[in-house]
Amino acid sequence: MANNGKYGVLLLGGHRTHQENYSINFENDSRCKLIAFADEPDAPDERIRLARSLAKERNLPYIPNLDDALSREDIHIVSLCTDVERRGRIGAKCANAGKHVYLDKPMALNGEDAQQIVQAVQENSVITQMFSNIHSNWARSVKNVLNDGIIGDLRAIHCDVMFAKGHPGSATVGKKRNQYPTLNRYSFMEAKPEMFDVGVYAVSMVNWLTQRRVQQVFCGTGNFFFKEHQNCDVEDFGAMVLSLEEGLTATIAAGRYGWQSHAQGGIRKVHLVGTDAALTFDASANRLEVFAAEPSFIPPEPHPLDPMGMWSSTQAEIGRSVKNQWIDVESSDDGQREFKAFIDCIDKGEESEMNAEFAAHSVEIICAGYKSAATGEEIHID
Amino acid sequence: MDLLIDSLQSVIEKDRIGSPVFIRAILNIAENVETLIQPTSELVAFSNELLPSETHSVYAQGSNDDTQVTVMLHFVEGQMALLSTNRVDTQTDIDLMLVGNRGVIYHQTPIGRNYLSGNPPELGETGLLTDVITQSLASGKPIMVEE
Repeated sequence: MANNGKYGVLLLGGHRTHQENYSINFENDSRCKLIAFADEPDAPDERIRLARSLAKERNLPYIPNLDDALSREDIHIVSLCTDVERRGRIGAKCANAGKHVYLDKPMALNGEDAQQIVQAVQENSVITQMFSNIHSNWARSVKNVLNDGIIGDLRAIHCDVMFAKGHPGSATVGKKRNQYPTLNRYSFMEAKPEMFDVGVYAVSMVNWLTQRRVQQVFCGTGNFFFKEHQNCDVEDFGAMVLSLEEGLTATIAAGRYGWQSHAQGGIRKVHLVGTDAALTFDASANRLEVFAAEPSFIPPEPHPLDPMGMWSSTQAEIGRSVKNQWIDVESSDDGQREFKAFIDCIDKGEESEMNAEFAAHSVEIICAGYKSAATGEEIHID
Repeated sequence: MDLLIDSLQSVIEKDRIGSPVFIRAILNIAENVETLIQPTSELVAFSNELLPSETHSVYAQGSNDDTQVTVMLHFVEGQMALLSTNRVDTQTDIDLMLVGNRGVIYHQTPIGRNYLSGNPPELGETGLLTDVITQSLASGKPIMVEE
């Protein structure tokens, strides 16, 4: 292997994408070496500009033609953080070039795009992983309890993942959201479809914990908090009831609900209901609570290019203060563990627990959710 | 539940969380109830007290052995609720998240090592939309609520 035995990593996506974080996570793994940034030559100009600026910040070259980058033998892994609308095509192209692919969440805009990636991955036997919460201490605790059989046979699972970011209260409430059955656009500067963007954490968590396929989806979406989402005509909240194989029920609540809605980054909770016991797992439960003569958290002034507080770079620019009343115990390295798990899979030639095929089911479920919210009917998944 | 509703209403009335838009409630029932439909209907009544709209539709799912019943409510003005009732043999408790358009109320009773500090929720006996929940459970389909 080139790069002194290290995996060469190609980075797609620039500033104002999760590549701001993922590039650091890959760099922190001693088995990896960052090689370059790249994108398609006909990518949106703004995306190219932002990729070039992050490349400059990381002191890496920018390769203007993705095909040229994928032909290089010193590149083994692609970290894919392009806009969601292009991920299906680009993910498949990377797999067809024989590269292992780390997929930002969600992996694709719809089921068809996700299947493009899955098919290419299967044909080329590369390793993939979609970003998720399953490698967190919190998730592992839930999994251990399920494996131990403490609750008996699982009958229901309920998962809430909400992001405590943004300035809420500006949406016009009191009116049912008119949901479209399919999502044609995902990426906006000021908003994202949050049932997809945040809900993918909860849905993939349920899929992973249960290892059962969802057969039926009933869903609702809402514009409860932000005018930005309302103006872009995407939801800021979604809730789903899922019927899984073997009669299991699952529910999901996901969205973005405002800076001061939680003492940390937002609620992350799983409830397990079994024949012998019901247990609750709160990701924030294992914490220190600090009360001190110091200023409380003050929500930042909205950054003009990032009013929802999505990106590290924009939040650094406005000097966002840190929420520090609740301090996590035992979860400080959750993020790095996610990337270690992916590189471990490549090292061992093993499938990731959140590989493209597994993650594609989450996309399928959420897209079925949009259909359900649009029609008011339950939607069956084959 | 009346005392809990009073406390929640006191926060809502001061407009601290804005207009309530979503309720998530997980109710664990240790009492020997015949079916979970009645306590679930109590949660439906509870939600109707707190959300400022009328129920539009009810979608219910349950396990064949009556270990759990889960209901999703859609309200006329777009609000939603996810309500789950589960049979347990330990203690009756509730985990609640009431989301407003400008804030949230979280509540668990009783909780952890402080369980003697909080009373388990006491359910009423009337409930709401019991027939509709039963109908949705039987059909596996959302049921519109007639005015």
